[in-house]
Amino acid sequence: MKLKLFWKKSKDSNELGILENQLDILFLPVAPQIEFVQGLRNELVGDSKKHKLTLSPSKMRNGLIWVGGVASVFIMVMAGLRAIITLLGAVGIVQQINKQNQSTAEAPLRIA
Amino acid sequence: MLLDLTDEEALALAAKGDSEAFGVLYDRYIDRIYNYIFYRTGNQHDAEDLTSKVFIRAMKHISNYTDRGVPLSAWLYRIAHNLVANWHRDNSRKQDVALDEGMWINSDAELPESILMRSEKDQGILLLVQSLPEDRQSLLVLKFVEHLSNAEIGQIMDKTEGAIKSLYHRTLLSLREELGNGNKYHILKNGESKIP
Repeated sequence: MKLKLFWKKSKDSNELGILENQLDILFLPVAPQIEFVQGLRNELVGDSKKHKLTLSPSKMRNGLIWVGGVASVFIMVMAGLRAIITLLGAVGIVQQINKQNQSTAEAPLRIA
Repeated sequence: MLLDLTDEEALALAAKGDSEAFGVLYDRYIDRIYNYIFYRTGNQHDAEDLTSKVFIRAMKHISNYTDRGVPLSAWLYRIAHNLVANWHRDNSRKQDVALDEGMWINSDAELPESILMRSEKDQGILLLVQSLPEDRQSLLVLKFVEHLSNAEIGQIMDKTEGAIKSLYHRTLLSLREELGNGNKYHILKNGESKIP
């Protein structure tokens, strides 16, 4: 009985081994077409490149906040400078007026 | 040099949006994924279609991929496995498969020359494999086409190594029985029919 079982197992193992060899020969690699491989690669890598240029919403929001902040500071600085210049100009005008007044006041004395 | 990167390194770069790093992974796995899908679907057209979907899906989700003991290759095969399973489900509604003694398998497969040049018997065995349940098909393709170990196949199919070993043995026995019964697998081409 044990001998029969052993023989059956051995026979099974041989037959399965033959089948495995058959399958090994059968399942040969099949090369995909080059046009397909290249085309898909261009589509994927090209798309990835496009994605690189787009920003995520949070990054875009942060970017806009930074740009807005920098622009605001710039405008404030320019406005401040303008105010200073205007102030200096006004001071200059006042000084000129004062000078004129002084010269007007002095002029009649000279004639006399 | 990008080509020298390991899968993990290329993956990390690709997850940050490096398209060339993703291209490296693509070059490494395109043939393997295509082969797996080709032998699961049996025709070039669907193999190309599904292979494209695998890589598009991989690219879309690459930033979400985390190595939980499943290597990148297994992840890609899993995506392929799921897509092929969906494809089979959709196609099983369309295809007519007669389950009589002489199995007639309708196949309008677009087969590459390397397959067409094989004997009708070999083509018949390939079609027989395709008629197996999905998990057995998948196992045979991963073993004989991709030459993966039982452990690697287990990672892809989410089974233990022991379960794969057992499934493999049962699959071989089932195939041997089918072939041994002398079932004839006749390939119907262009709508021809043969009456036994």
